[in-house]
Amino acid sequence: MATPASITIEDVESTTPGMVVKLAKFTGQLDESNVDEKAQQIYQLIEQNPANLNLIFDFEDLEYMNSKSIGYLTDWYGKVYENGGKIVIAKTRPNILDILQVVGLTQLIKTFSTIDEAKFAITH
Amino acid sequence: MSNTFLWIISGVLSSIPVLVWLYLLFSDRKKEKKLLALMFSGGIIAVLTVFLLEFFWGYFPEFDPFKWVENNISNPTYYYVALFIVVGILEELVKQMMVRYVDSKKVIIQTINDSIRFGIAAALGFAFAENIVYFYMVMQNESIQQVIITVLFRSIFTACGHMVFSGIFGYYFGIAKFTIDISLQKGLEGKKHILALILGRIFRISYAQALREIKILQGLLTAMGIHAVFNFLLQLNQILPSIIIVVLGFLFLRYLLQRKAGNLILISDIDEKRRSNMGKNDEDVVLELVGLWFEQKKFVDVMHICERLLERDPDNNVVKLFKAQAMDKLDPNNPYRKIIETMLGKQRNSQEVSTIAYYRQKKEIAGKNLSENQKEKLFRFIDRKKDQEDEVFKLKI
Repeated sequence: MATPASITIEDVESTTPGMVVKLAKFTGQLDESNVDEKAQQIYQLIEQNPANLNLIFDFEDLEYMNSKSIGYLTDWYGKVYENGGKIVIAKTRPNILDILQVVGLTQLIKTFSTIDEAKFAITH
Repeated sequence: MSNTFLWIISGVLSSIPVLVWLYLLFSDRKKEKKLLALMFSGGIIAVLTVFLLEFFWGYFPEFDPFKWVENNISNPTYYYVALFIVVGILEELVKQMMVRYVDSKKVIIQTINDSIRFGIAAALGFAFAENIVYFYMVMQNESIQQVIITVLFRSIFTACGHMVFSGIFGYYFGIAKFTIDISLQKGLEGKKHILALILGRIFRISYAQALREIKILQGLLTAMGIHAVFNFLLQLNQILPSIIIVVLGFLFLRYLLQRKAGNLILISDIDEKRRSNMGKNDEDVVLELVGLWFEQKKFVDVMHICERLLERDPDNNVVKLFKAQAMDKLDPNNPYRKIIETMLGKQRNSQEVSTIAYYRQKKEIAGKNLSENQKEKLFRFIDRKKDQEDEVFKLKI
């Protein structure tokens, strides 16, 4: 049985014309049982918005990320960045932030302690 | 000439090549001299053990494997094959017993390469003692020309052969000694040894323990097998193939000794082991990712993650192994890398491009005060490097 996890996506208003900003809220635990399925949601989002997609990942309720999900995060970053977009992460739990720092992903993806800070960073 | 004089001459003649080999192989290892001397002595004792066994079989021929071969195999070719297989098995068994015994008493093997080096030292001790007997016998019965040929051949190729056989066993023994760390690392790459799993279940022992026994047996069988083939070819006067076996084996050992992973000190005092300051579950996630990316040949990323991880958990042998192996893969002298480069006709390729570094470079260029044209040029350069990498990965060599 798959571990409970969800990704809910909402639009974020942007003053810059042509810029698409989405807030993706992750909850639960991303592990082997659900990560492939959940990752498709983000891939679909990237496909639907081929250019200037800016993503804010809200990790406040994300309890666990397995190695595969970190691999996906790197891949999403590559795809979004190639098309002129950005990814930022907000409200990461210390243990997940620790993992991202050791992996080196924080060199690419900025992390913020609040959603507002993340929104400001992505829209300016 | 008196017998005593012949023994002295034999001793001098067999010590010359040994001294040369010891100098060539171990002159840079000043700290290990006593241990190497201990292993060398172990090799000499191994020859004496063979003589003792032969003496014992004289009284109890029912235990004599040579007699068994003589009584049961009438075809001369098969007889020779069997005879030299028995010699190979016997010599390798006693040599490896010495290495294992000395290590169990003194805990001298701290790295995989230590195991290879001490195996080689024991082999030199064995070749030294064996050559004394051979030279003495040849000088008693053969012409001066035959003596010179025997001395030259045995000094160079037989001594080298012993080093190769025991060095290869030493490699497997080193792997066996550190199976806990190595099996953990291989497990993270998604690799499992099926036979170790099966044997572990049958004999109710741990996976690492089963793998350890398999590796020791694999080393012993490989060393005995090559030794038997070498002896058999020599007996048939097939000098060139036997020289080729020794030269290839020597090159293989040289390659093994150059690897960074082989020089890692994997033994540590549990009381002095520093604790990780990263959560166990979090570290496991990172290690799984390291295994995944290692499998995907992202060696630069693996190296960088391992460096950061070692700052948090400095005594983690699995992380050290991943880092050293990633460095070995990136080593410009790595033969596998050379094969890939030769096949593709490219100077440098792949694996040096880090996924994280690739995007970081692009970000840095985007932030620079350059014209759009200049930025575009730099982007194209980075992309070309990345394309090369993808091309190599698709080949899956």
